[in-house]
Amino acid sequence: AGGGRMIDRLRKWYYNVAGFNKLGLMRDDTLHEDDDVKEALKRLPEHLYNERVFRIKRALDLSLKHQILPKDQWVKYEEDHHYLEPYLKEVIRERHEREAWNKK
Amino acid sequence: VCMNLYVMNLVKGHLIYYPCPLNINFLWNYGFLLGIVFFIQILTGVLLATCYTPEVSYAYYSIQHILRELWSGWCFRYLHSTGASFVFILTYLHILRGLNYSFSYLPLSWYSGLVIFLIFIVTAFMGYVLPWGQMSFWGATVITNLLYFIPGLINWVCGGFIINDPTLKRFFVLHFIFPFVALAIVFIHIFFLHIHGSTNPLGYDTPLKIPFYPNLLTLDIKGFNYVLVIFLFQSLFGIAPLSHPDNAIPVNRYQTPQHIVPEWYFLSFYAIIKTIPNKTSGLLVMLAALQVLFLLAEQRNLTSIILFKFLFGPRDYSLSTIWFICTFYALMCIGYQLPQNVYIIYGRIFIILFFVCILFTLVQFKRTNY
Repeated sequence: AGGGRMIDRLRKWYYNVAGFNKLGLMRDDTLHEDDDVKEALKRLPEHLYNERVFRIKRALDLSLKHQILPKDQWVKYEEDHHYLEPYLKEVIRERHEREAWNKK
Repeated sequence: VCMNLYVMNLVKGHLIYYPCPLNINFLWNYGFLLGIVFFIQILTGVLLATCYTPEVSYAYYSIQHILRELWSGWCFRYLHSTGASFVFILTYLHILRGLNYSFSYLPLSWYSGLVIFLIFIVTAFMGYVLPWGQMSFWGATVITNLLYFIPGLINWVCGGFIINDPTLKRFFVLHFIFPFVALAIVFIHIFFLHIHGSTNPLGYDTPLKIPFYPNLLTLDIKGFNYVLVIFLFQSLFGIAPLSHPDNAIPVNRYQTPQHIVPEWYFLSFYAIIKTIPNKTSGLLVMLAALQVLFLLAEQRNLTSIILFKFLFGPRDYSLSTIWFICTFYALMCIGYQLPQNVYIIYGRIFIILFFVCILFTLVQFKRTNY
């Protein structure tokens, strides 16, 4: 149990050091857009997709101005929800199933 | 008329209306700056070539003639020699930017860029032989003698058993031709870049773009102004002692310099060759150090082998890139030293770290976590 708390603290520390939360991005916003992620994005509900686009656009604007958000607007580790994870897992599961069928 | 229209459309498509991400910063200036410095090198090089004599008895004295007798000859000579250092510093910074941000998105640009880098290395090595100073001769002797393990290769490269008149002549011709080959590959490099579009510091494939002219051209010109000031200061006042004083002494085949060192931009590779006891192994490890950069753009295939899940790859702070910079600089410092035990041991450690850094970059770029 102690080890789990330690790992969680390490994750939280690394989350803050990575720095994308300072640009208002969530973890799933930073996933590299390979084919699986692109397919998962197509399956996102409209409101989640629009929120993602807004966050990315805001981050690009901040990057242009070499600024970060005020501290109270940083995404907190506890508030970061992996909105893309269920859709991405589904896409990967389907791809594995398709590959298994094609092998036969 | 059709040809003019075609050229105008090319210029408009690639230089005026070319869509660039809006958040690219000074790290994206180095390509433009390299183009400018490369152009200066070609211009000054062609002018110097009209007055240079590639013959062992006259080479050193033709350069003295350029320096002392010809109007502004000294200016062109120092612009050219400083330009070589600036080409390499800008190339290293450009490669570092690519290593940190862009190579996984633009593999073809990465490969063509590395080919240009290799051509620069060969061109600079041959160019350094042309002044026919002590360091030119002995540096070329050291490097060409690395090829001893293939029978007849040294004879074929040098045109004889030692660096002599045939070597000087062929090095002059190749030093003249290779930059134009590099120029052709630069166009291919930019072509591959423009097919995909430029990357940006955040790494997103964003449709938010702005035209190259006037926004990013002015950013590039700003960077050019800063570099031009430093370039002119270095060329005309020689602030940093970049070239070795032994190269101001004419070649003396019977007197080896106390310390044979290449120019600063080759010191890291020289350290790799020096610290490995076997000459052939040293050469092969040095070539591997260059070749491993080619390996990086193959990461889309290798990540199935290296299943290291690395979450939250930070975009602006890359541990492996920082280690790489430190290792490269450490090897540079070691390359400058005389071969003493302590430097040899550290050199070997840093060579291992060098390869670990590159391979760690491979690992770090696996972003999808499942």
